[in-house]
Amino acid sequence: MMELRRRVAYRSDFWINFFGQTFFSLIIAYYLWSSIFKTTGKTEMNGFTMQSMIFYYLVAPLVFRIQQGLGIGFISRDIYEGSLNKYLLYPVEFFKFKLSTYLATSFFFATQLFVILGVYQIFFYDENIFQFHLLNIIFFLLALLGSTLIYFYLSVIFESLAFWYDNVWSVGVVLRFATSFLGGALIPLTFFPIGVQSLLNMTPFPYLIHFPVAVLTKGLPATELLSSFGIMIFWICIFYAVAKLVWNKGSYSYSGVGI
Amino acid sequence: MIKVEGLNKTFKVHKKEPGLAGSAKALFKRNYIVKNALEDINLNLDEGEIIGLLGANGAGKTTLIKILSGIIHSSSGNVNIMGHNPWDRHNDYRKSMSVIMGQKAQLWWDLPPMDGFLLLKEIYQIHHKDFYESIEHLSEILNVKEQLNIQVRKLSLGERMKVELIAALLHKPKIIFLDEPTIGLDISAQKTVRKFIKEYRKEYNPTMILTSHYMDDIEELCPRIAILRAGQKVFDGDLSNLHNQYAKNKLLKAHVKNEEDLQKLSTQFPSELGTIELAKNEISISSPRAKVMDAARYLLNNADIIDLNIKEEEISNIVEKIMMKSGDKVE
Repeated sequence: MMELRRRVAYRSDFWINFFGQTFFSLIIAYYLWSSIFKTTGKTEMNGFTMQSMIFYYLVAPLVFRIQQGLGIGFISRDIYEGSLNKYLLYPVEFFKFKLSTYLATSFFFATQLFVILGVYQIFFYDENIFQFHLLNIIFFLLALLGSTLIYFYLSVIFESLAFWYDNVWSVGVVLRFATSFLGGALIPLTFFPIGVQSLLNMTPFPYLIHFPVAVLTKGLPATELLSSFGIMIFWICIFYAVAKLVWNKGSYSYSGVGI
Repeated sequence: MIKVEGLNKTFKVHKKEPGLAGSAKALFKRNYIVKNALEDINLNLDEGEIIGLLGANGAGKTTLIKILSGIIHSSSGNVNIMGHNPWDRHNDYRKSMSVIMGQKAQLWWDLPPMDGFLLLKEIYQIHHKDFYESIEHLSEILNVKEQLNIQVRKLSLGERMKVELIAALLHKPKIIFLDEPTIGLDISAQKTVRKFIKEYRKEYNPTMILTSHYMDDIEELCPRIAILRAGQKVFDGDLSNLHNQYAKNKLLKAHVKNEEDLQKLSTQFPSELGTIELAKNEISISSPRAKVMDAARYLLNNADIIDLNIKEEEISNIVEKIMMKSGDKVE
């Protein structure tokens, strides 16, 4: 609740975020892909038509934004500035506390996504691209939650490096770029060579963006849903365990600067 | 209540040579220096006791507070506070203590204090009724009722410190660490904060460790003080004992009526009674405690004195001397 209040405390920031991030990337994608479709003369590429491609670029960046939660520096900044101290003093578990503010931010961006989906449904309805199926939405939400948890614990690991290194911001930027590329935020994963795709399937990346968007648009078969969620849980557990380990080691050597 | 035995803390600090070449070199090989922040600290505090922790910048005051509150881990030694090792960060311990840092805000910058209090209410699981009673009571004493719904960033430094105090005391901690609570405040705000701490102590009797650069804070609040110098404890005892142990001399100041007497005194004053300094028609004599009365008698008998003053050395001067210079370790 606090994080939500903090987010909406700055109204202009709210709206600039809302329009800026969504529509600028959409306009770039539109011109890029319409020229690609035009020059190749195809109406469908790797399972995407021009319309479904636009829809993909409407949803994928927002899904990625939802996972990013508090963004780069959400723990390292606390470590550098010493504001971690206050969290260590509170009788709550740091991870739980951070996760709840992280999810609150994600929730905030998720509402933006659903506003956009609503607008799309009303003004640009195309049953081949996207339909409001309750079941799809529920699985989509679950996939969103899972992918956000993966991203959260993955970034906790990298953010905690701040206990030892003086500047992990650049590591955060690399992580963000790598995940957006390998997860499918820049180009849909179906455009990757088959070999690379099957390699990627052994990593957590496709479960970040590709999978939730596929659940929303296509509504995957039950078996695939089940196995995908299973794999997601597996990755969450792995990253949780590593994050906990790195955190415990790091906080032992923490020097509590700045107070 | 608080028991500290043989506490040590060392830090490893990366030492970078200046300039670009130094930075490039540091990419491959780093030089570290080991800094002893605390050395063999022993400290005992009874329930409800308050101690003033003094020391120059970098003497280790804040490090000690960070260890006692569980923020950082000690290198060796034992700490036992109400049966807990702070480093375990047990929730029972964390619920019963509070740290107030004058230099570092705990409340959320972008939100009004009241929103921050509400979050703390959830964090510390404070009972609804207790919570509102505390807010009412504390904001009344500190006179910040009107500020509770204004964004923290828009409050003045003094107002911010007051709401920080409320935030830290909402859960009625039994142990309070106050790190420079009056730093940067104007004199009247300092007074308000001191008065508040006094009243709060009377009402709730918490155990307290206070650090401050202002001697006024210490003199008014702490009958007992400990002085740290370069990570070592060099004094621990009653503030009133400081004079006896460290101020070997007292200061006599006298107004002398005529120039002749003044000259006579400056040449003939017996050196075993003290050292004499002249300024216009005033003389000041730094005299050993045992000889003060003799020195005074000598003055009165040998000169026409208009006014005579005998003073203790300023506490802040004594403390400064202990903090800076080497001296015997006193337990």
